[in-house]
Amino acid sequence: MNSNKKNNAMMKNIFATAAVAAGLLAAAGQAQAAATIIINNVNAAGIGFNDSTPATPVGGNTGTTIGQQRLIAFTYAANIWGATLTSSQPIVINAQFSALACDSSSATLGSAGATSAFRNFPNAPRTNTLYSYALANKLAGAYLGTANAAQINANFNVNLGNPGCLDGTYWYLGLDAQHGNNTDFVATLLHEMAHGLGFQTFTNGSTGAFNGGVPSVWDYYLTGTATGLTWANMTAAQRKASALSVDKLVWAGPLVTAAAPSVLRQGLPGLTISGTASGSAAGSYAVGEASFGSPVTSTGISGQVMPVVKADGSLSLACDPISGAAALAVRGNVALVSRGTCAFTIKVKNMQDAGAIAVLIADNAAGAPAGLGGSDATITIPSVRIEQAAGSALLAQLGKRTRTASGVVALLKISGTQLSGADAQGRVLMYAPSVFASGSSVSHYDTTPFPNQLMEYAISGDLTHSVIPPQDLTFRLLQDIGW
Amino acid sequence: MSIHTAQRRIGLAAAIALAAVISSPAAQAQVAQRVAKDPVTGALRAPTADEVKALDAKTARTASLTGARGLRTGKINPQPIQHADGSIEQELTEDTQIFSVARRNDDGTLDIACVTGKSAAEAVVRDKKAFSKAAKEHAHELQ
Repeated sequence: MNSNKKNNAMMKNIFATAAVAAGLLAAAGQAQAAATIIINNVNAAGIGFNDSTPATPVGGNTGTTIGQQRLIAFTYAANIWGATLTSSQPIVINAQFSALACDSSSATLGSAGATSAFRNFPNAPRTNTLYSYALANKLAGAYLGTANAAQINANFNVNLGNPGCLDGTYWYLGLDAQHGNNTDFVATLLHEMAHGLGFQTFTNGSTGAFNGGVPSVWDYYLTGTATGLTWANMTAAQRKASALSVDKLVWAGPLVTAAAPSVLRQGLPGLTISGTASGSAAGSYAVGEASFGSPVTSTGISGQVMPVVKADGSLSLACDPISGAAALAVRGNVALVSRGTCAFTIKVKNMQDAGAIAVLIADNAAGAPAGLGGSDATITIPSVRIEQAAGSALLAQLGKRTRTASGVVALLKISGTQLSGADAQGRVLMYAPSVFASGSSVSHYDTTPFPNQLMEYAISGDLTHSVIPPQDLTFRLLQDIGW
Repeated sequence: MSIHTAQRRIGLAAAIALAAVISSPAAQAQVAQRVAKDPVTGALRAPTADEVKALDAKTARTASLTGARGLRTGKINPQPIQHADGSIEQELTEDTQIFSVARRNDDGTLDIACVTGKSAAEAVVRDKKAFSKAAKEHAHELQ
């Protein structure tokens, strides 16, 4: 058998008719839907999806070779989309694993997107407007363009985790999202497939120029709140500025906005200080949330504030474990420490190990309190960042504390009705960094929603595999544009 | 689409692109401005026909490596096509693909973000360019 025949023999078209996944989603309240997704495995023999290296079944993935497991995971993700979408036309994905750019500490995980965009097709809702290939086929009720052409290209890094390619961080091929320190292949697939289905604009965000001089359907919903205009109605210069407008770019699609209250957390976290010894520090303070540990809840958590201090009385950095009197002081209380020198996770873990029920990290620079980044699955208590001035005000009131009590009480709680990751009108924020770094993309939700969303610019490690409410807003956005 | 078909399409597209480059007015104008260095005498002179052919081939190869390739046909900078049903298709390139890129931080945590375009993804990985500088980026500060 020559190599080409081998390639053909290994070629597999996987029809993801999604019967199993459809049942699961129906149980979750999703209306009955169906689309056939065809996974066109374009890897050659022995490579990627055809890799015959033995593998142990993991996380519900029963494949016994690396290639089988990759294909099963890919089919699983395709089934989720297949059960969610409705289309009379098959959706063909040209899928492969190949060597993508990487080094020992960074890597291109994969890429995906529509292969073509169509306009002025039969039944097109808007004229002179670009629709992704798969969506155009759905709306036209016909297979547009070239017979059997793929609608989506998807390519993933075959070397991930190997020496020289984000060493030691592999694709997690299980279906249960328990990826640990590895990268969840299914979540990445769901994200990339969504882009291919149309979760993207074809307008250039760095120049504001339309693709081929016409807007994408995306641009009719992407709205700048500074101008009140959609991208479709802005000038190129306005679009370019809008892409850098931080919290002034929203999705104005009605289905996303309607679903947002059922998906996004209502209210903002805050700190209230009270107590007999709180003095001038009593009042409400803004906080920055942590990406690790327990989130602040609407029920709240309350306790006496106890600082960890250096010999000179200033706040400790808490970069080392504490014991003795220091540990006794924070046990069962809310620890107050300073930002700096070591990771937030180290500080909080040290306080948790000493028995603290929550941690306030006072900033070491002026400014509004931002979030606390990092991850540590062993941290279970909540923690927040507070302003430098707030830390100083608190410390000033803690001078007369005993070894175990201060009379200064902290309450960390969610309050108000503002939706996380949305503007005051409840429209979900889209990603618009203050500086348009190369490749920044308005084709994502902002990074501020809670809970984390599948289609945020930064892909989070705690994603479920849901694309619908009450967990996720991805499909609602696709519905807004015509799915 | 089979691998055979895909390979044939890409090969044909490359050949068409080469022909287009060679026959374009810009390419013809370049011929008149070219000067060759004689390998024996070292003197500058007009290039021979074979040297022009070799230079054109090199130019075409360079263009094929740097142009934006269509994702379905492999054509360089694909242009809109009007189909019989009246629809207009714009084949897309790697400039519109969304790339997921990951970077391990000094503390061992992993940041994953999405960028648009292959060159942007490679800038993050190979040139160590930062992910987008969001105003809220400090929300992800680790210490």
